[in-house]
Amino acid sequence: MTKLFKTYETGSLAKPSWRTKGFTSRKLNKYDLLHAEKWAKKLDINYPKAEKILLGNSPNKKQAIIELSSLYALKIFEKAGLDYYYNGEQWRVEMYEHIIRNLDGFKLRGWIKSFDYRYFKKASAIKKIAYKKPFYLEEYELTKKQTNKPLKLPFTGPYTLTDWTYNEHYEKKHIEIKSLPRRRYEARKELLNDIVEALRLELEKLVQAGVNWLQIDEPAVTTKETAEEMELFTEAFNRLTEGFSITFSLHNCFSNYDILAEYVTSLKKCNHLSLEFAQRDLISENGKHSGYDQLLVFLDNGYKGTFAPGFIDVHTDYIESSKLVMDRILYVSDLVGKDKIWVSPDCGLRTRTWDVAFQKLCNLTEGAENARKKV
Amino acid sequence: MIVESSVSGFLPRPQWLINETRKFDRHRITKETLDAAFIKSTKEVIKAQEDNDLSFVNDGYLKQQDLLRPFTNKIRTVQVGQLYRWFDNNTFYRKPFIQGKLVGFPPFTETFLDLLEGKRLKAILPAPYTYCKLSSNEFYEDEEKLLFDFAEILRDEIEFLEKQGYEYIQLSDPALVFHKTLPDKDDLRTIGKAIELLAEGTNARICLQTFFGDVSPILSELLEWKVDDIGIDFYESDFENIKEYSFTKGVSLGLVNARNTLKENPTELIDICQELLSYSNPERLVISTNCDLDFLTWDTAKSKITTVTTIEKKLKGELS
Repeated sequence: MTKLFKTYETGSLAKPSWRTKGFTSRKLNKYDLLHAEKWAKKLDINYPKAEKILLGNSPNKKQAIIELSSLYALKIFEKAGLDYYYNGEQWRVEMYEHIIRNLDGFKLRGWIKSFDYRYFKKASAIKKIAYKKPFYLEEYELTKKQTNKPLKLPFTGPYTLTDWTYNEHYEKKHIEIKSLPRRRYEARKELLNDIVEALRLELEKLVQAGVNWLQIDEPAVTTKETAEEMELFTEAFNRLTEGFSITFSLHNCFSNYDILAEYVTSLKKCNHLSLEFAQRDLISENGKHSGYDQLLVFLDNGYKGTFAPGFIDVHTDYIESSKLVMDRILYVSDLVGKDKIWVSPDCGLRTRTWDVAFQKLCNLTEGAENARKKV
Repeated sequence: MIVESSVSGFLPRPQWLINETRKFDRHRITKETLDAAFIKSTKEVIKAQEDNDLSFVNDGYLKQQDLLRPFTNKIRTVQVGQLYRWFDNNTFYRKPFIQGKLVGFPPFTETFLDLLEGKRLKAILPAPYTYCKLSSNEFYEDEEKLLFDFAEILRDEIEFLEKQGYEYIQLSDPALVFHKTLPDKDDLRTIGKAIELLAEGTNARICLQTFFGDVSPILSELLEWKVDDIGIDFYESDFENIKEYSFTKGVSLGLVNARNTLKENPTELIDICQELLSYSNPERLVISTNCDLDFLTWDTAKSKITTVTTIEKKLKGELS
């Protein structure tokens, strides 16, 4: 019998200070090392060996630090008892920048305000976008060596890469279009197409290397809710996945699910959705977790695949109890059917400390286990 | 024909200031050090506008966290809420939660008057519809009343700013044209009345700046409103749908794209101005960016300001 309520992590985990400082050759202080030691003990990692890497001067130190933090992340997920996971994206500087730096045709422009005193880096497409070198392959191959568990690889989607980029080259190319809004749209479409073709070359390598589950992260989808934009997204998704016979899922969060639901059945190779409903279920009354009711919109639109609706909020330090997780799972099971439900956080946990993230994940897996016993 | 220039919105924080704010966020520098950095960078962005001969100068609003924030922080009955997406951008604002009658006293926005002496000043404020549409109203049963109460707050703020020497007031109104927040015909009439209320008694010039959406479907109504200039985002509004309106007011032409790093070709944009003038006879043209420049880095924003004034100067030359 297939296991019900299988669990996974969604993507990123915070990078510890010894990872970020070590990678940029800054000196570690005693607190950085205490953190590494504490977690090594907790996760059965050989600390003297880890300390040697952190304090040593080997020419491969940066690479060794990345592999070390990847190992810690894998062990955290393993100890929390998850069924599927990856390396907490410890190899990547950030989901957008990592790919931008590794494709040809982009130029990073600097920090742009996201909100308050938070910023993100943004790039311009200054020439035709083309594949340059592998950007996920090496991390996948090494991660595979670090664990025997099945892996789910998070892959930043082409629509998000397009939406977060200034489009110089392609707008210049379409200078003959007099209407400025039209020119912008045509240029956007072409940038997206070129990004898709470049990503396909990486995907080909990943499939050859043995990846069998790719989670396409598209946080930017529904930022622009027009039919024209949603069609750009679905066409890009379909072209990206065309001809590959592995499992594809879509992760989309902090988004308009009424709109997403209308288009999700157009995604030919997507039978699993990873969503963010826990933060929409902040007030649960009388055992009714109505924050999840919007899931029905997907069924109403004809979606027949499975869901990981999100059972813990990643934007708060409040640690959901395993009972709350279980109650939510049972509520959602009644809503859409128990066979359709997978159990994961709303999104990557990179904004939480490891202490908080670990406890949240432990309660997530315990909640899933208790829910299995109940049904 | 009067031709002027301005930036329609906030300016980006220079990269060195961003570093300081990040340090402050991580408790590595004090508030005093950060405040000093804000003053130094405000001087820097004012100077860049002066060096480019912009007709109107603003202080950049580098310290202000989002367009709505002064009217969230400084109204007692409004609470600062969670983050919400700023229209179709990858940037966010904090939603105001309105929990009582809106009452407050100016100034709401922080001004840097000692740094702005001798300049023609422009202020950037949220238009009543955008503020109300982006808020969560937990108090007013009648949305109209909310709109009018906010318009009164704005009227007091504009009166205060005018006394401080502000000549040009931009009401930023993206919600009016953004596809998800479009008002219906009845709403439009009410919004027009709210604008009339806030403009009452002021001699400052008021520009209703629309962006992030196509203004053409509601342009005929806007031209009836009691504002001096209408601002148009030409990267969202197709010129073909705009050109045949007869402009009886001034037009703030959002021709320089603040959401792309690509350097515009001034000749192409001057042609748009000329074509507009061949159809219509507006009171004046204000060459501008299509929206706030804080979607770009400060270095790119500076070159966009240069493009604005290049167009202004060339157009003046062609028209004289």
